[in-house]
Amino acid sequence: MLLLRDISKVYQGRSPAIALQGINLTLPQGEFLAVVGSSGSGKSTLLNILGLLDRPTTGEYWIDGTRVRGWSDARLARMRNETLGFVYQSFNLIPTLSARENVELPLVYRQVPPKERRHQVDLWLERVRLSDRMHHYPAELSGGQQQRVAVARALVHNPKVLFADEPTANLDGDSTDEIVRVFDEVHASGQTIVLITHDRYFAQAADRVVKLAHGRLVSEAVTRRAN
Amino acid sequence: MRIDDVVRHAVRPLRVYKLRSGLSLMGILIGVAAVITLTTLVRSASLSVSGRVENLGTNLVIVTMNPLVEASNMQDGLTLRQSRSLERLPGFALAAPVDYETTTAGHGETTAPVTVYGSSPRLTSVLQYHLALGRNWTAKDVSTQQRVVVLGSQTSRQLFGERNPIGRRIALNGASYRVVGVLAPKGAFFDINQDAVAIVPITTYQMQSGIHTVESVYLKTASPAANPNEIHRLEDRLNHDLGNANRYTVMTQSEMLTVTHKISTLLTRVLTGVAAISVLVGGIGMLNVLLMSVSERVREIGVRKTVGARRAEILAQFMLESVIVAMIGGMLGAALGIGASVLLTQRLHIALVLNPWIPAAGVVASMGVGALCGIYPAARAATLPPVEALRRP
Repeated sequence: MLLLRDISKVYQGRSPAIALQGINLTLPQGEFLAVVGSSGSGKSTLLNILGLLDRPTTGEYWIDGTRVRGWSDARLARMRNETLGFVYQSFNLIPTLSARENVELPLVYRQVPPKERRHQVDLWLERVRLSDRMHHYPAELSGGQQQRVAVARALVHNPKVLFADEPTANLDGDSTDEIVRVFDEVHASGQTIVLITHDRYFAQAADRVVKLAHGRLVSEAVTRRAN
Repeated sequence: MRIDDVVRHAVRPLRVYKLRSGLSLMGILIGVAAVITLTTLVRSASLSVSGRVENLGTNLVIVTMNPLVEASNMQDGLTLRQSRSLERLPGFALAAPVDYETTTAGHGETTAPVTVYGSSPRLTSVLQYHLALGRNWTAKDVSTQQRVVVLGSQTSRQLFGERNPIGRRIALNGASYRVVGVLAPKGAFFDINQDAVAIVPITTYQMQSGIHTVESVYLKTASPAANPNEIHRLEDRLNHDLGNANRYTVMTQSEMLTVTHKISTLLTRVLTGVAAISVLVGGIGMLNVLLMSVSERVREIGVRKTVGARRAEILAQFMLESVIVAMIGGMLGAALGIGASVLLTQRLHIALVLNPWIPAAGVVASMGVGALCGIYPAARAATLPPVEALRRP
């Protein structure tokens, strides 16, 4: 599904900073991968490259059998829209749009007809148990509810890979449990997931855990769950 | 992104951020309102003046003594006899000498502000007044210096109410005059109230004032329009009588029309320029608010790009937002401009001449300004790399 070969990322500046180096990683379809590591280890940079939000300095990236090289911004945008979904620590909902409108955003950019869009959005708001809050604006929702809206938005267009960057870091215990439950459910239905987390409990929900330190992959472990 | 979605996503922030939207359209609103009000006022005023001038007849010629001459040597103006003799010049049909002053008329305890004209009986027809009651005084009244007066409709109403004033007496500058006629209402023109007048024989007027020269002479040519030969003959006679061409000014109606047209054209250009600058300033204000808006919404742009928005879609959304803000500003400005024009022309007592293309052009121009001002902020929003946009707070 995803293949990284000798990927490095260097941020140019007065003193160039190496964010990633020599990353080799394969992610088969349906796998739930957790990426752990301390702050500044390169986790978010790795997610940005995997999610086609940033370009690597060197190395090869293959997605669904196609090498990502020299793609235009428009092609990258289309690929993100058709193939990838994102959940962030700070929810990243658009404050001027209701829960329903936030969830339908990927479908809007895919030009899905309104009727079909409504059906998909209703389905996902029901799955994250927010059908009764669909007309609320983000400011009218709790942190946990906002993150559930963000999860629905990340999955509403049926992406091949779901990327999640510390999705439970800003949530209380109950809300974290709710998000873990949703991730478990979608993974069980075959969803490929890349999760960046500090939360060991959440990481244990993954099939495999890789650890990053100073921009390198330093360890890899298959969880008990995968066994 | 479908067109209806682009519009929906462009309109939503305007509804949510009402204050910001209001501030950004304010400059455009004021600018467009100013353009419409100023151009409409100049056009209305110009056409009203032209209409009045044309109504008085293109054969009207006005001779006015220059103020400096009058002030330095009052006795050097035209005498009544000289002014009357102008009527006998070949090509001229009539001449009405005119002196006037502003004073207070009284009847018993009641007073009224009034412009007193001293002239010949022909003045009423030259100025196109019509009698509503009684009669005009006669040439005999002039030659015998009778204290008779024809009142304007407002002066009559102020002094006598609904009573018939014919045969009653009023006081003007301490002298008693008998009312012989009342003029039909003529209405106001700019700030000149044409119904607060009292017309008396010029001989009586001069006897009262002690000044025996005339300030101006209204002449009418026999032909439908004054021609250069007639004007030359008039000027020759005035040069002969006054000895100096600098002592008077001869103005024909066509010259007045030309002057009116020139003033109106100049005013239109100057005021349109001023108004255009105010639209531009409004546009710069809008640009500022839009840039602020983009800065505040960088994260939103990042999110949109993350879920698949292309540059063109972000550009279209922000451009459309800007155009819609400007269009609303333009439409409100057009409404305000039309309202202000109606109000001001009513207050100035001139007919409203509103060219419907001006408000339409104002709205279209403001949309153009909106598009122009939206390009840079929208381009900035569109070219933001998603990863950088998402990092912003």
